[in-house]
Amino acid sequence: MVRDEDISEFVALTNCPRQIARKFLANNHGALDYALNDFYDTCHGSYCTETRQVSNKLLNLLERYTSTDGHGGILTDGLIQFVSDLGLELEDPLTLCLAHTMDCTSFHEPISGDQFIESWSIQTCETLEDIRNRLEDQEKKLKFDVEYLETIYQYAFGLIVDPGQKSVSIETAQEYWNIFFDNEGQGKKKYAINPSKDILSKWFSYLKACGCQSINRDVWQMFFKFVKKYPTTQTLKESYSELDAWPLVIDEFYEYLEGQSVF
Amino acid sequence: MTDTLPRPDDLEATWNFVEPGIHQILGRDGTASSTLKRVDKVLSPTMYMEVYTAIYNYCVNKSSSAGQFNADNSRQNQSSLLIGGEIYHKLQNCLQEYLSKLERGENEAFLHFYVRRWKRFTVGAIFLNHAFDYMNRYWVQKERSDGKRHIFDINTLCLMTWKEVMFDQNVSQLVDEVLKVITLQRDGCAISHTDTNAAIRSFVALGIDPQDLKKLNLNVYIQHFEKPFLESTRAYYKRFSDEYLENNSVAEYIFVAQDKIKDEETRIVLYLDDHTKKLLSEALNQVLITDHSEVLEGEFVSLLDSRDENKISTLHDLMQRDILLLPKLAQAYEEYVKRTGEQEISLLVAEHRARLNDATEEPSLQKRTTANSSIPPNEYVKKLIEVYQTFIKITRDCFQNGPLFTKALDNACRAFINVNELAIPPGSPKLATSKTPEMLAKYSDQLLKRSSKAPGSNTELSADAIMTIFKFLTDKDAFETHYRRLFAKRLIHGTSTTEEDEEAVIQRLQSENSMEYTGKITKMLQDIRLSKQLEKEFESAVRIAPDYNRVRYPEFQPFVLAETMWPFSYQDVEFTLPKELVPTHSGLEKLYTNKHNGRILKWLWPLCRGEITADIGKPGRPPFIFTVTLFQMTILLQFNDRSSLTLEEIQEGTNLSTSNIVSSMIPFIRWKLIQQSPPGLEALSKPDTEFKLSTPYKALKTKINFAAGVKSEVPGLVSGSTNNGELSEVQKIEKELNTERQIFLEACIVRIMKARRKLPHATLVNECIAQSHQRFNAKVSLIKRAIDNLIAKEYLQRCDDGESYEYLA
Repeated sequence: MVRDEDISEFVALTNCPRQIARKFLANNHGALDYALNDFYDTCHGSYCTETRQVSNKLLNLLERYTSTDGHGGILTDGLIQFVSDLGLELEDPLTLCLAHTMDCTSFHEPISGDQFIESWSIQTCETLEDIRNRLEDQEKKLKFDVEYLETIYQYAFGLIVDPGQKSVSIETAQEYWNIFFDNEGQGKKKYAINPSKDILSKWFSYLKACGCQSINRDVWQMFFKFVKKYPTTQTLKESYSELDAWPLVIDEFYEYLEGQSVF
Repeated sequence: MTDTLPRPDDLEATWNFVEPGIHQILGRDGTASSTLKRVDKVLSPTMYMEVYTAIYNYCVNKSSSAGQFNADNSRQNQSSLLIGGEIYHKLQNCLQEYLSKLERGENEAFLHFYVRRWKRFTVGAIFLNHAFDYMNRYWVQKERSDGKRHIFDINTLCLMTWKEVMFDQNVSQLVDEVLKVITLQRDGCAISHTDTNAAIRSFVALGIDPQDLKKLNLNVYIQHFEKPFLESTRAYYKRFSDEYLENNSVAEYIFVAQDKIKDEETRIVLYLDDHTKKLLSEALNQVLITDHSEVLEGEFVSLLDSRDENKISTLHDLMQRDILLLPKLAQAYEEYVKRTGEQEISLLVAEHRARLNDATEEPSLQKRTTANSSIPPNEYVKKLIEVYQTFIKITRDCFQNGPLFTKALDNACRAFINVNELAIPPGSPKLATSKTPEMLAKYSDQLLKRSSKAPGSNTELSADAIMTIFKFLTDKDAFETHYRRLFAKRLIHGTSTTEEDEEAVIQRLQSENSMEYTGKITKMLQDIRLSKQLEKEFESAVRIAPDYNRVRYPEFQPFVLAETMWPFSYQDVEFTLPKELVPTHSGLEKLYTNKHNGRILKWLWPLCRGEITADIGKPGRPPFIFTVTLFQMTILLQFNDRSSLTLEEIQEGTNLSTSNIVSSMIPFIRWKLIQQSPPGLEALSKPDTEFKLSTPYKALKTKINFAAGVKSEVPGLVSGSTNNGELSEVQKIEKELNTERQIFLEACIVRIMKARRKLPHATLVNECIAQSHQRFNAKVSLIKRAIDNLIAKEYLQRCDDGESYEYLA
């Protein structure tokens, strides 16, 4: 799993493009020191420049979404256009995958032209069609690759949290939990983790009951591990232990279920 | 000497010569030996010498045909060939024949026969050994060193032959008879056991290792005797204990079992080999104790119920024999003590409730709920101590303070002292804190507060009791908080018995826990001392003031308290100090700020008290002395100018809030010092209500305490506020405690993580519990909350595995 901090670290050290950093990190399973060694081994003594010719098609594509007010880069409007041209909803995990591929750190920051070109060059995509194909691959990955799903899930928090905030409102969190875990709404979406509808709805009603206002990153992260380990109330009942490292709010959820005599 | 010695080289002659002697040595079977031709009755020294010499001659000279004694020859013989083989075989045959011909007397038990013959035979064997000494020393030794291990010295040969002929063929009968005797003895028959004793010794003696004659082994003993013996022991006591338990109580059984074991280990063991000692004990433990352990454990509780120390300790002694049984017993003990403690407290609560109901005869719901809190702390603590004392005695006297039991007692006490019906009433929320620390704090207040009641009512209270219970408190910080509150009241009201007593208790708390624990309390005591000093300084300062007189500077006792140490929170109260006190007030502030530059004095007006002299009685009577709060004093001082005031006027003069005036006024009205018109609680807070000082004032005493009658909340004024007020006090303490704990835990976690950088969740939680147990019982939820907070504050970070944390610098 490649962590964003590591990429930043890598870039800070090597001054190479983020995409290169990601590539090396991915090749080395996310281990920063190995990736750096690898980088200096392969690129030692020469300037590691991207020799690939940027295709005109891709440049045209970028042109289409770049804002015209002179700042360059893709602003929110352009992004929304891009997403809908790909046939996606904004509230779609694939949109998150898309953002992840382009290394967006926030929906509120514009995507620079370089960032756009680099991302898709590395993915060898030139047209919307290519990108759509790539997304299809990623959708498959979401279905079968728990780790990838978790990466996207963890990445999502950074996207949905408001700038300067440390936690997201309960409504936003709930909306995204539904995106990630509510499989039954559309039938076709089945991701690698399948918590039961029951446990999700109980979780939501618990959050409402306890007057919880917001979800911080820790709870967000741990909730994924929680539903991964206990996809149903049955499994929860059988093996939950408050001695494990769950955040307090999850312990209290368990107590709440006990109190509701769910078990 | 009638016969001449045989020729040394003639085997037959030699043998014929010595054979009668040999028989004589071994002893004729039963019959008198007078029929023998050569030897009479006893083995005479001459005859012994003759036999010895004959054998010696034979061994030395057999090979020399000339039959001459020749030093050279003998030396030659020795070095070349040693003689003895033939005569050895002859002896062996002779022994076999001798033994197989031995016959039992009529009506003689085999055991007796065996022992009788054995005794004689072993004596004979020794002499025979001496007689063949020369052969032993040369021929036998040579043969054995040549590796012929079936050749033995003559004594051993005798024993081996005995084993072969007498023992091996009769062993089962023999052992049977021995065991029968032992069984009879166990049944209580008085039986001489010399025979069994000797027989058993013979088993040991027969354990000969052909390879190494010097080493006795126990093969024969263990295989032929010990095994059947242990089996029969087991069978005997199994039957015995089963039968006994069927017909008698378990309590009786433990004594019988103890006796039996003692009996076996002191008497039976005497004639057994040491080897069996341990095995016998084990067999007895198994059959008499372990096999009945369930019954015994079952009896344990009822023995504890009876508090019969003799029986308990006997049972413990029994169980102790099988160390595997002790943990279970200790566990049962722990549960028992815990349950007893809980029951005793429930009983106390129930009694109290009954008493309350009797008194009022109307079991209202409210009484029921207040019953718990109205139990006097001294009764509660006394009960706890009682239970503790009972069991510490049992632990000491019956269990010899065994580590398992001491630990069980500690655990049990910790459990019932902190959790019982009174400490945590049923139906309390899960995270409720125990009331025991509060009760103990109140108890210490009873102990240390000067009582207006007859002196000596405190005699049954003791600092030892505080310390005993304190040791077991899990929430020691709660005790500290409550203690500090009560301590503060004692200090500023000057109601402590003596300062030494206070200090003694603090000292003990400190040595039991830590300097840090009593830090605030010690600081409080120090504040009081400094305040006394300040009082003196102030007094001498005002005395030399030019405008000094007693009216301008009344007697004044200041308390300067460090704000964070004391449980008083500063409230800004609207209030104008009466002009009579202004010089004192400003004088002290000036003195203090001069002395300690930069310190700010905040005045806690509601806590101030004073005495005023009121010359309002009948003329000629001594003036009254009223103890009043500062607010009351201020109000009364208003009446110096006029004898009647409205509420509004009082308010103008004092700037006090209506509720403060009302609560101050209530005691005056109750003691008829002030008349209110119109009367009634309702009218009390109306601005135009008039208050009139009663002059002359009539009262039985000249000293009256009005301050004690002031309640912080006025009943009736705000409906039901008393109850809420009290509750909020408890809640406030609880909240304060929780915040303190939270801070403590967070600090604790940061400390741990700073040192360890990265830790798994479970380890961190355990370390936290370990570090905080001196102060309180850290609940997992509290620790988790602290961790969550620290993650949010970015002191910590959860690792990718979700189960450990990393410290962020």
